[in-house]
Amino acid sequence: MKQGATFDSSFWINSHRSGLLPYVLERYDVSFCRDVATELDPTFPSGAQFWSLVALNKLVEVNPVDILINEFGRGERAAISLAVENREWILLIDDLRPFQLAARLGVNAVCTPVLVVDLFSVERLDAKEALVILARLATLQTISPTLLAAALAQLGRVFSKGTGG
Amino acid sequence: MVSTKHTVSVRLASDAERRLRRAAALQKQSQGAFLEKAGDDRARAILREWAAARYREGNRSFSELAEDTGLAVEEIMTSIAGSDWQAGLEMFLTSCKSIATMEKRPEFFHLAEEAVKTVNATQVPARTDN
Repeated sequence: MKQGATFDSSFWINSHRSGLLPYVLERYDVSFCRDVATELDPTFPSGAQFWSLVALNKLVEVNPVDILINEFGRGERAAISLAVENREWILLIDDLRPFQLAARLGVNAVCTPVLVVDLFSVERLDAKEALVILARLATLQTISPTLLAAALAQLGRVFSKGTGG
Repeated sequence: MVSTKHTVSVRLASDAERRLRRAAALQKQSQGAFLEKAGDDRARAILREWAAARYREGNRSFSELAEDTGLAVEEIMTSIAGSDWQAGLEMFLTSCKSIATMEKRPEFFHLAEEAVKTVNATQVPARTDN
């Protein structure tokens, strides 16, 4: 049984654009909030893929009972609130400040660079595949350079120990 | 999606009106349709630039910026990199070189160089219009 997860729109878009999305869908049982869905415009590539997966019932809509925070945008508020209400889930989130707040609230938050390193650690990605995805994320410039640098350093350490994919 | 149309009146000087009439005719559009598209394109460009600057300052999230501007989150995110995605790859390679040196694993940097070649070969120009 796959682990439950929900996401914010920046994670979805970065995952789609970097080639990480198939691994996300393989690994997690992914639910989405309506407020996140409304941020994914079907006239753009990642939005089109999102809505096609919704039409295929590959993604399930689950909304938080209460919106627990006042900060940030609607999608981020909903995704964080849903993750707080489902503590066993993973929150997939790339925007740095909402990510930091989610972590402070005790949510298991994961961003795209960390997920790439984890997939390498469990040998789901080999080193070159992981580096290609991280390089694509670097071109997007929508991931904090600090997060990317930390992920690369960790990838290098795992690679050096020879324990990755 | 159902969208409501709103009316905006524009007063033009004679020369500007003549240019508009001629340009709209060349595009085989009515003057209203021409102005509607030109105005929206310009508004989007200004808002994309504004949103990218706010994002780089680090004080607004993508979701907030989408609410502020009426742009799609993906439109804002796509505009961040623009044509400067090579800068991201340079930073990536520099980091990988440092890590390879620290870990005494030069093959890590060689793999990173191969990864960059793959990305360069498959990079699709970003779409920023809608």
